[in-house]
Amino acid sequence: MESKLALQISNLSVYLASKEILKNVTAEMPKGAIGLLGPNGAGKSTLLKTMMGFLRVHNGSIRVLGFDPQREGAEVRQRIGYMPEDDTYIPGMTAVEFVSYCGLLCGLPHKEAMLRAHQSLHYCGLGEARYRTIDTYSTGMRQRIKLAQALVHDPELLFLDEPTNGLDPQGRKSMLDLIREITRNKNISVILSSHLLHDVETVCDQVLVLFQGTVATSGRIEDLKRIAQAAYEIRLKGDADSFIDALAQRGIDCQTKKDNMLQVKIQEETGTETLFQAAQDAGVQIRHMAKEEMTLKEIFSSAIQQTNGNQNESTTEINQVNSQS
Amino acid sequence: MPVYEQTYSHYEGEYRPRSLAWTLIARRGIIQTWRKKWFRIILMFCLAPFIIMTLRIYLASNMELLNLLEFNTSAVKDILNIDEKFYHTFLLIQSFPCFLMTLFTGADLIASDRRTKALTLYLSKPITRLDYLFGKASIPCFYLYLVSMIPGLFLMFFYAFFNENWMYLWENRQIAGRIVLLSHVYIIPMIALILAISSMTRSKVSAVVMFCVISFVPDTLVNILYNLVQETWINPDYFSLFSLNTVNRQLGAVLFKQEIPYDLHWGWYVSALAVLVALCGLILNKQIRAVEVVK
Amino acid sequence: MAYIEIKNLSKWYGQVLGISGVTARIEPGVTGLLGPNGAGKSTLLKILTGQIKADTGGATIGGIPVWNHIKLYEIVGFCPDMEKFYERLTGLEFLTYMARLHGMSKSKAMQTARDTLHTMGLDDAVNKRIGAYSKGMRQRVKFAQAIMHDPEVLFLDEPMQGMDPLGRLQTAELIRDYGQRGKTVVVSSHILNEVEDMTNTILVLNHGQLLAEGDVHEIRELIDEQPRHVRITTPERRKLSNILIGFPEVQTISFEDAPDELMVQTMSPDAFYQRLPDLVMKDKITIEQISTLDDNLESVFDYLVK
Repeated sequence: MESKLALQISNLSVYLASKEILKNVTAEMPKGAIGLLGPNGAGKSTLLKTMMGFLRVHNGSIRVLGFDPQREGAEVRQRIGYMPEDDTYIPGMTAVEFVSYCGLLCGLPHKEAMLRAHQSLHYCGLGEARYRTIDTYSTGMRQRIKLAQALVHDPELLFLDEPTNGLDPQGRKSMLDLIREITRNKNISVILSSHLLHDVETVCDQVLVLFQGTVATSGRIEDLKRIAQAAYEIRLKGDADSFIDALAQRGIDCQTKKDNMLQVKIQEETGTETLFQAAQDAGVQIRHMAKEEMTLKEIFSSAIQQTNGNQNESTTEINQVNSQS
Repeated sequence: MPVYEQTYSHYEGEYRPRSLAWTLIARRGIIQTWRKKWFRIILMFCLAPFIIMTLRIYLASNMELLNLLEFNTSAVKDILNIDEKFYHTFLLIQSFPCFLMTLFTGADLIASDRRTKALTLYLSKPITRLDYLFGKASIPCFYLYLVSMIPGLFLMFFYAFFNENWMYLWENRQIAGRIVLLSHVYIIPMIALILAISSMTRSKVSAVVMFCVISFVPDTLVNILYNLVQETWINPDYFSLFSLNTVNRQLGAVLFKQEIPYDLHWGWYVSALAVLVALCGLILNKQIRAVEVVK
Repeated sequence: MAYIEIKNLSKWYGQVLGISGVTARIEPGVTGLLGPNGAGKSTLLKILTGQIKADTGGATIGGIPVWNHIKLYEIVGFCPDMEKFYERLTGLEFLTYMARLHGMSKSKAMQTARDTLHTMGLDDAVNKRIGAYSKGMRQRVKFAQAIMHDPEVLFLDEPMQGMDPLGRLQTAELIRDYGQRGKTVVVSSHILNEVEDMTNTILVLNHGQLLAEGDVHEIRELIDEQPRHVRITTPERRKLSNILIGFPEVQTISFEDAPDELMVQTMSPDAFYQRLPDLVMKDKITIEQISTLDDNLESVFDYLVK
């Protein structure tokens, strides 16, 4: 039976050395590109390890692609490709040997493993460097070969742990482009764990934010971004003050945000026409005009603040109960 | 003419059964070890006694050659007596090559994977920890067979071949069994020990040093203590349980019905080895798990 | 207010080029120092902090030459890009030690160390050995060490490397504040959108040479050979494109995947944007959103470094 969900977690608790790391986590993530976010110690890597069947589930259940990693760990690992955060490789091998060896370990027949290793290396942009030993690779190439070895056995789901670590802007962009290509065109789901909100925003369509072992927020990024009130973000070329005056004459409120960005709140029925009138009157050009959305940064911060607040409240409640009794 | 886009494609074929995963690790490791030139030189050195022994068998089978050379003294005849003792001597000599092979094939097995964090990669594939360990253990095992059991059996085969007496093999099947048994007495504890040591460190050098220390220091200590407590109430033979070398010598003598060096029942020695292997197993279990759990 | 003046600065390591002929002036406020790996960012930072001597040219900070002037260290703070340092000291010991090197008295050094650790949110880790710190905490201690003597000029080499999202947001905030207080802050970073959040002023190096300095949007204006891409969201994109096709400054019009999006490519953005109000008011076309796609740091960086 083909599962539509990449990840299905209910009431999951996981202990590490008798410390509860994941506390009653519940989430359902459909297949696609999923961003896994959270500060240090939020439980991201614990969750990744539980998904691969390395850790014992204390309570609740977890399904990866419909499989239970507790009982069917090898089944799960057959269907996923894992790109670890650390700089990992098997020394003394050429790139193509290494990747085909990884394919073999995942159950590919010998010839097929070699074929797919070449293909995977080409796909990850290491075609020219296939026959070099990995010991001579640069940081950017090491990141790529980690991706190539995760892809070689044609997984359904990729776990990517900080894939852009240590890359310069161009390296980072091409890595993100590659990941997006994989998720959009190759029908492979991705769970991307990263400290860079921007990476998640460019690649993922869903997000799971963990904080102190609990789910701070989860869902489609598009839905989380939507804001109730209609407001526009505007950037001008020209004198902002005269534009603000022109808007004020029309009874429209306008605030300056950072970077000369203006925030204008208008009624839904007014439409954008008034804004252009005001711009013409003020002699400025509207260079950018977009409905205001929450950024992932704002979603992340507010989710964490809320979770933090809730937890503090519940502890103070407990304290009160204690002091009463 | 169609236009092909050179890109990633999905795999439609079958995956091989997972029970074979350990053979892949073993194969890879055996090939990689063989590729090293200095290793092949050491292997040749380790097989030198085998060549000398083969020569002995050849001479023993061609007495007329010695007569021709007028070399047929009683001392020479003694050397050329091919019996149980001959095979026992061969295996006794091979215990040092066995040590060398273990050291050179085993010390870096897990240490290198820990150094480059490759263990995480292995364990993220659909293989179990047991597959990994079994695969890794097979690498020194292969080369240890190559310097102990296999040449031992070949010596018997050569004797039969030179004398054209194929019944010899059947008549002496017990000796063959003893060769196989004693080889395993050598091999199993050594592999367990080297894997456990290799899993505790990230550096090849410290694994090598640790293995040498564990192999030689107890042996020397046992000898010193053995002589020290000769005249006291302590039975000095008990010390022989604490050195791999003395244990192997005792069990070898028992198996080949030779004069036994220590006055203790062989059960003690087997138990000592079992304890050692179990201890190594525990260490491996803890170390390999630690990599999974603690990052 | 301390300005950094860089004049014709070059540095070679044997045959390897560090930087060559860089001339620039960095003003108070935050400046992003950008460039691919091996562009010469670290070399420039090392010269400006007096760690290595330039082969030709020179630089001054607030009028003080950077090479061999002990006075420089009073006004400069530096957060280097390295992983390991003083693993056996606790955070407090390390900072107190650094403060003593700045010539503070023992008690004042201790107090300053505590205060700075508090500002960096490291209260819990004061008495923990640095060896046991996480990557993010190490970064914060390094940062604390750089700002503890309240320097006029601050050099930060990849200050957020390895930090988690919360740490990144806080550090960015801290850097912005520092710049707003009239200090000069130079931040090297690979994460362009984070730099964009801190500042619009950048200095881009590639192959050891200065490619551009100044405001991102102004730099964009100067890159003439790259046409502007403007995306317009409108329910009437075919009607709009009929009108747009008549404008001489419009080079291409293309339809995006989304049914209400239209992409316009133009060489003279001024003329194009000037027409938009008329489109809305005279031609009665509803325009819901406008976005200039390549007027951000990422595309400016791409155009410059390519």
